[in-house]
Amino acid sequence: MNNPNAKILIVDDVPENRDLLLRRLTRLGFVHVDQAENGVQALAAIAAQSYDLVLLDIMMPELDGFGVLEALRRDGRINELPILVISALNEIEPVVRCIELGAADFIVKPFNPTLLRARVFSTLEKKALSDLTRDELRRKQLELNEARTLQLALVPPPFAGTIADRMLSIDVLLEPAKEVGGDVVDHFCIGDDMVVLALGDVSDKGAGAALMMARTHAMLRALTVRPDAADLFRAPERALAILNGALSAGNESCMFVTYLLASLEIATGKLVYVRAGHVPPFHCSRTGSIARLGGMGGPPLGLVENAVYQPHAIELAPGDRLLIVTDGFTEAHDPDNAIYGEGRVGAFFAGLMPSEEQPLERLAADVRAFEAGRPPFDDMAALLLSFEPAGTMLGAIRFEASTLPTPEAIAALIDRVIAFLDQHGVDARAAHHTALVLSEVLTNLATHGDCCDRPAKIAISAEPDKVTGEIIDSGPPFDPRLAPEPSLDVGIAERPIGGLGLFLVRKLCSNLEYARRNGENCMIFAISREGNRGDKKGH
Amino acid sequence: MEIRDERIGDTFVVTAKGRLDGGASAAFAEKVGALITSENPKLLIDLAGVDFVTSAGLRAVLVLVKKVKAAGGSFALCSVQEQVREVLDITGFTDMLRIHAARAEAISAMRG
Repeated sequence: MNNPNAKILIVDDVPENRDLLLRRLTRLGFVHVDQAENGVQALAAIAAQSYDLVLLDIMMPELDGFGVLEALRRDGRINELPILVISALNEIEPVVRCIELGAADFIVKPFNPTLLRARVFSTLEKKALSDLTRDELRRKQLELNEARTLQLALVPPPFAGTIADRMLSIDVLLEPAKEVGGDVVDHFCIGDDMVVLALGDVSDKGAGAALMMARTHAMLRALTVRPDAADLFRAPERALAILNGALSAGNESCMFVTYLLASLEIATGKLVYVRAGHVPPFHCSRTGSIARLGGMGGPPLGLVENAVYQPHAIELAPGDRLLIVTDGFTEAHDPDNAIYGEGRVGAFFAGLMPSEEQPLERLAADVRAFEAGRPPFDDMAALLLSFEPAGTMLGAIRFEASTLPTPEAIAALIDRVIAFLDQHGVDARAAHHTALVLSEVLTNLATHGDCCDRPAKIAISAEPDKVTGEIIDSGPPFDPRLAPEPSLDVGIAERPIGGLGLFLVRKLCSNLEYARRNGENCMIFAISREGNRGDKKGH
Repeated sequence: MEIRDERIGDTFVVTAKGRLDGGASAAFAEKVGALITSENPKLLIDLAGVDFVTSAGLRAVLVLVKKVKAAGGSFALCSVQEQVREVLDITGFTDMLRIHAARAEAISAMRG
């Protein structure tokens, strides 16, 4: 570590002192030694060149040692430049002040050659090590970032479309806890009527787990090109047994992978799944009830070489959805070490509107919010399958509105709804009516909702033939269908000012439903889109 | 909402632009109401630039109409956009008020 090419700067106003140091340093083998007479020259020299070490006298004209240190501290340079201050024998206070200002160490005049040598060499060595560490870290970070890009590229894109004449959508999410992680998620089609879902979690996280993840991913994909692939995945326990065999062989580090492999036969809705130690998937029926796919399939992959796996089957009905997550969701901790839990995941799933935008990102964001600044507990991966979503909705958005929304807040919400509907090609009339209905209902809420304890929840979705909306508030019971009709055929003088808002709502909507549930008003409305206005005529 | 008013002959012509919603209706009623000071006032509201009228907006219009009628004057709307027209139809405002298709036609009708 003793580098003769190290660049050293000597700063002292007394020429004899500089000469002495120069000679000593030269004798120690240093070839790049510069000199400065005072603090001003020293700062100029430091700005012009990067030095590895500065020997700094304290008492100098123009700008003294303290001044130099303060200047270097202000621009942050002091962190990268070791400074040895030169002091007289009885000067402890000034030395202490210099150390506090950021000097690395000190050397006392008259110089003892052995001590000078020791101080200079150790300071230079420390700097060299710290530079090396910093460069190494930077390089490693770049490598990891590149690896992350590659790993995320292994994740297939989400799917929405028709297979075997049935509508299907698959949402996917992968969020490694560090740059790379051990969760693996995949989905693909076999033939023209089978969809395969796969989710796995390698023990631990980080680079080693990521390598195992990539192996597992590749091995599963390798099975899909075998001539017997269709048979293999129709009985997924066989595919899993092969995968397990390959991962178990030569697995000295005993890394294991909890796994969920499922095949869906689309024409019949039959879902065959094998759960190898993984979190049981959530099944949400069309009516909103949640069940878990708890059938045990066998041990996690990689541990028991000849394990035999047990399949289980359920039948999906139109409108059903399936959510598979890794324990990065369920086991996430908050600062008090409470866990997010399977209950919260289930509740989130039950509350999802069909075809809602980015549902898994929203769930992941909820988990991150729960962790409240703690580093991620584990990698997160998830799959969400929607089987024949009801009404084939094209997209949905939701918001919460303060129970006493101001006119400005309502206007802003209307802007967002109109932009959303425009994005989905909804005609101007349907968009206008949706906005007007929302405006009237929310304004009405603002007038009567002062005892609401929770924000109102609004969801709007675009379907091919209509726009539907749902508004839930915790105000006093109020059925919008029952408000009295204003008298429309009286003259201007007799015409009452009020009552028009809800009347408009009833007239503009092609469908209006209301229920009082769990202390909340639930209103659902629909507005027909252009080309679908046959049903409501003659206002 | 932007409100511009001018006097053309003996008619006050108010040109509105934007949304006539809860946030805008109070200011609208106040500003336009302040114009109705004389006997037999003539008030025309040009809605070419208004794409959205809520029940609060309708109430403001009704308040203005009543004020004009009480002072023995006349009131009309012109250049109503398609969706707003539907709202006026549903709430019976179309039957209650004079609505002209175009500004020029409305101004000459009011002058007459």
